Amino acid sequence: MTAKASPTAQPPRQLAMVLDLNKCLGCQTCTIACRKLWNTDSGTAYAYWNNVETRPGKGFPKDWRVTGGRTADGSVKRGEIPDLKSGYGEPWTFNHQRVVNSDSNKGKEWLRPAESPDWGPNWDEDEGAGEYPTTNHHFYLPRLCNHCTHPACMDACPRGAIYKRSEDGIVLVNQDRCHGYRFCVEACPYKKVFFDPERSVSTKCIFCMPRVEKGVAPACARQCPGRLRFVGYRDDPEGPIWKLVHKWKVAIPLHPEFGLEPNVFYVPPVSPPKIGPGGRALAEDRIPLDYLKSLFGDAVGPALTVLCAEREKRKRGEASELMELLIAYDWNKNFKFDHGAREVFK
Amino acid sequence: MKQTINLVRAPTMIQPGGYVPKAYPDAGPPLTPNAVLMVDRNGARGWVVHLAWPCAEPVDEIKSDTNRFADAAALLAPVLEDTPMISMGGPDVPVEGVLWRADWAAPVKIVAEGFGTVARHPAPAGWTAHGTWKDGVRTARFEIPDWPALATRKLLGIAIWRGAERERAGLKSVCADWIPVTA
Repeated sequence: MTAKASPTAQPPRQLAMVLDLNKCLGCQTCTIACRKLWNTDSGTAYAYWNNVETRPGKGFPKDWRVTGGRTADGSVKRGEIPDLKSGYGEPWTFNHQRVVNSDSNKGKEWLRPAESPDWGPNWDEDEGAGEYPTTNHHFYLPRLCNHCTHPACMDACPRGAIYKRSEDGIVLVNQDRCHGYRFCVEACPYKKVFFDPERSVSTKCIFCMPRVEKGVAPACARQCPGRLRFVGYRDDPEGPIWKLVHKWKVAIPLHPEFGLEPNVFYVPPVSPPKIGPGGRALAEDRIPLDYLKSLFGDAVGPALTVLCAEREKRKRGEASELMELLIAYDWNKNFKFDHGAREVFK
Repeated sequence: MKQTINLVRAPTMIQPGGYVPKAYPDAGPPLTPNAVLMVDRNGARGWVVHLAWPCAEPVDEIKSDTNRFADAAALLAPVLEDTPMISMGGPDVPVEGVLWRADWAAPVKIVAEGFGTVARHPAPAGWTAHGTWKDGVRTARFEIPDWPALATRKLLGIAIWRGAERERAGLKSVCADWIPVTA
């Protein structure tokens, strides 16, 4: 059943994104920015190219970590295509008209879906794990297509309808070639390719390609109120990606064990302490390191060590290039596309 | 002409892409073990083809779901001599045919030069296909008023996809080789 993934040629340059999970508010502004810009087709009303899920939690689609087409050692396995209802969650129809526009019902009827859903995106928002108030914990994990160096979706398409742009490594679906077979949906272990049953084609994040080509950051990054997203080329030593991923090594990929070399990286969450008797903070982390390792691999430990050390430096009033960058005092430094150009915010 | 055709599982090891051959390794019998093929002439260049196969659970539409696949069947004919059937032709040896899918209003014409190269085109005027299901048997009836490739080569290939089993693309039951048409 299993075999190693096929190697694919790397593009000369690769756009990438870093997300600092210590700053994510779970506000879903990125989700809405993406959806309103790109994903308004009725056939993908259920789909979120960008979503923010609560961890620990089941994620979106439900349990995507185990339904993808890769094993824990990076071998190919037969993945699953999520059901609309039990996997993604059906889009809900709300009674806006009756609640908002009807004088006779005003104040008498709650806003509610017409359906009786038992699952949907963000269904387990803020649930997390642990026991209140001593060990409870959760954090937000924004997710988008990882524009992998070795994309499982591209490997899965028998028609060659998915390709990786040589100029920037963005992974795209050629919908003129797509016949809606959904092997890409099945194979992607991050479950970030979606099927549009009305048009019978696959759709996915395009890394806001038309914006990027104009030197403008993707909508999810640009609209983020927490300024937690960084965008640029991996090989640009003056850019934020190089500094966070390669120089400081605090930005690490999600599920590196899948072997696809994602180009979306995360600064892992520094855990608050557990609370002991009398409400005193203990020297134990609330978020178990093993849980973070299950998401980000062994690199999460050293990354957290660097983050904590630099935080302490900053607390002592010392300079820290890393903290300056992550705090995003100068938002212009979050995005850098060309060596000679930088998007400038006034 | 009417005959029962034994089908085989289309081999996945020779299909394009790195995923399908590994995720669906060749094993086991075809999901549709056989089909009844009936071919009649319809004028000098035309044909009426009935294809019937066992189908316990018909899928007529994918609705708006993400994980449903419709029943489908295709007829193929070689354009040239010495055209491989099992791979749907190859470079410079094309096949052409007609694809019926239970959720489509009309069939499409298909042209291919090997796995992964299928191009779909609107069916020529008069090409029709209709599917029915009764008592565990799915039947597709094709009317093709003018099909020069079949009239010339007198060879037919068939492929069947069972939607309930999530068959699509190269996951299908096919005849092992071209079927001589004597009608």
